[in-house]
Amino acid sequence: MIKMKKYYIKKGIIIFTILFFIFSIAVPVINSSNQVIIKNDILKWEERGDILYVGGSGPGNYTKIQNAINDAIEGDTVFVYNESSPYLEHIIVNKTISLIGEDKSSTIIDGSNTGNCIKITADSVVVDGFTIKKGLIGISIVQSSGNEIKNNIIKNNWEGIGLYQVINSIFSKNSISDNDYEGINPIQSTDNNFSGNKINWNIYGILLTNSDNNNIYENEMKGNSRGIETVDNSDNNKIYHNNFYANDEDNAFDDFSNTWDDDYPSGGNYWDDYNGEDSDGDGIGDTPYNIPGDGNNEDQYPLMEPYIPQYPPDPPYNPFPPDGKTGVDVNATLSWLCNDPDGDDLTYDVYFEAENPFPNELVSNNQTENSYDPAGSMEFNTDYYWKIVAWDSKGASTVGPIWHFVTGLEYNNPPQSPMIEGQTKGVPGVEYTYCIPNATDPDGDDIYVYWDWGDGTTSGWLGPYSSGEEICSSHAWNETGIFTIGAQLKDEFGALSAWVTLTIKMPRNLDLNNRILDFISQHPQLYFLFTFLLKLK
Amino acid sequence: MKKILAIILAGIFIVSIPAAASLNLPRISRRQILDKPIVTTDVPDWADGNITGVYAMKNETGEYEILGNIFAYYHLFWGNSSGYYVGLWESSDGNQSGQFSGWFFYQIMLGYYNTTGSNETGGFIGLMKVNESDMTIKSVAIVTGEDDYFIRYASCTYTKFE
Repeated sequence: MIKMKKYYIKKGIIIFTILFFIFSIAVPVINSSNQVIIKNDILKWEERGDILYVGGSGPGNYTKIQNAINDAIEGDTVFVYNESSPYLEHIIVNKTISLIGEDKSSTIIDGSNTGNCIKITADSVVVDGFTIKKGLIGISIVQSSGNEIKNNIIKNNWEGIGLYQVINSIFSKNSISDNDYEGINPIQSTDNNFSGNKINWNIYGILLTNSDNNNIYENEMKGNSRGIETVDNSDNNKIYHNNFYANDEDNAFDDFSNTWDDDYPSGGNYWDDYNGEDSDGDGIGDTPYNIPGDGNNEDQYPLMEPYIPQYPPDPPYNPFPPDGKTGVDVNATLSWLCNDPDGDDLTYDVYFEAENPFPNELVSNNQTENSYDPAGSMEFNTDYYWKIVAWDSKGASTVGPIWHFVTGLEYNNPPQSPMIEGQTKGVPGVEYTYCIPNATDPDGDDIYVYWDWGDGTTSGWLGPYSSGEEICSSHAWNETGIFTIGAQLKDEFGALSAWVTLTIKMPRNLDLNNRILDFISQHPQLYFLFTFLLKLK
Repeated sequence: MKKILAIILAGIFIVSIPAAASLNLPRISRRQILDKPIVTTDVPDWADGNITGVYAMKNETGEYEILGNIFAYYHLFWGNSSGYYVGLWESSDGNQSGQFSGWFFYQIMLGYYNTTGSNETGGFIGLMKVNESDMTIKSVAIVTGEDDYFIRYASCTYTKFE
């Protein structure tokens, strides 16, 4: 009897514990719209934010930004269309959301010269893509962390960005100009990054007030009364790779202890009033630039030319096979796209591994092609994970996301060899259309096509097209000559058809009559000989 | 910091006193504004115009808080790039008021103030920006009081006398 009682108590505890865990997981899921998902046997917490639209003509769109924010929940995005601008509001963001403007030049928040345009009191808020003007403070952030304020135009406020006890936030690529007082005024704010901003025509570009350990780099500061000033024990800030031009009183003024360079050879800042020499031609002045103020600070390595920011590559995107794809052909070639903001040449490291969600096997490095062929190494019905690390020519890198696909259970037939139809002779500068009639995949899979036009240009993978469809593309050749057009098909799982080619001629534009007349006009003595030979008389 | 400001203020005052005397400036010493408070309706003969606006502070959460109003007469010299001013300040609730005066040299401004009915006085130094298109003046100044210093903001418009 006692044994039975203990058994039920034990069972009850187990059931209670299980119910408790289920309940504790379910509550946040319900409240936050996030969800726990089990994907490939890995437990993941996935944020599933909704998008709330403001302005525009969509049904149910909000007319006021604040109303959308009030209805948003943590993790949501409030997207603001520009066509209903200006939004005459004083916005309070008190929850973790992304506030995104359609176009930074034309999506305008206007504070009507009363109150702040945007006040943020929550953590991890993103504000991206707005013009923010005519507020006391354009963006005021109070006692929060992890915010990202980027790509905004902040002008004609009393103060552009005001921070009070803000930490670990990013302020990048904003234009902060023509504000009455400070462009940016961090108060008791630490460990923030200010980079890539244009901070022009304010009284103070940045007024650091009792703020420590911030990084200020790659900004332009022009036409302010003073570019940067530190007050009230602002120490240990690192200020480098900024360009200071034509700030009226001083480019900078520092009474405290801060670092004004990034050591050698990275260098310090560009100062338009620096008069030093660069005898060794390394781009860095031979003598330090003295920062006015009582801090006795120096930029030890002043730059001789304005700093041109270098940005790392954008993250690789558009993977093939698509992320999460199943049934992928074992002979598939991996491919991706990637851009560099500076237009630098890119190289790639490829990490590719089976059954490891965190692939660390480097299978190719420093390759210029944006594709990788595992060359028969893939097995049927296997999970593969891969990622690309993109490097620009200046050594900056970006690690791409981890992508995943599963190979098919059995052999996947590639598309049938295509046949190219179209003209084989033509004139440079004229566009011609070439088609693959009846592009067919035996399995009925969707098809992609790749054209190599033989003149150094390619189409990239175009598609998808339905199996059996006629696929056509047009191209014009700018030069004369003989060109070999190539085409290849790929099914949706990556299985490739054979390459097929078609040779075309772009002959010289032989205007014989003109050439003869030109020749005769240059050699009039031969006129009679020609007329005799041609029996024209 | 306070010491440095005091030294800067003292230095500038010492340098500027002979210059001011030679230019026949009105006496804008502390004694002057205490003894002969200006009356806004009596336009001084040296005045080239007047300034009206508000002054403000940032409160403990970094928000701007308008503290009161200011009014001053100004005189320009050195090709209008510099000048001096004498004026009044009054808190928004009207409970406190006083006078202030000082100079500006290009974008640097400095001066001192008193408080009516008390011994509270102090100095200030800061930066200002004049926008001639909309005839506004904005300034940020570090103000030294009896025991402390703080930052004050002014947003004004100005007029020019004919």
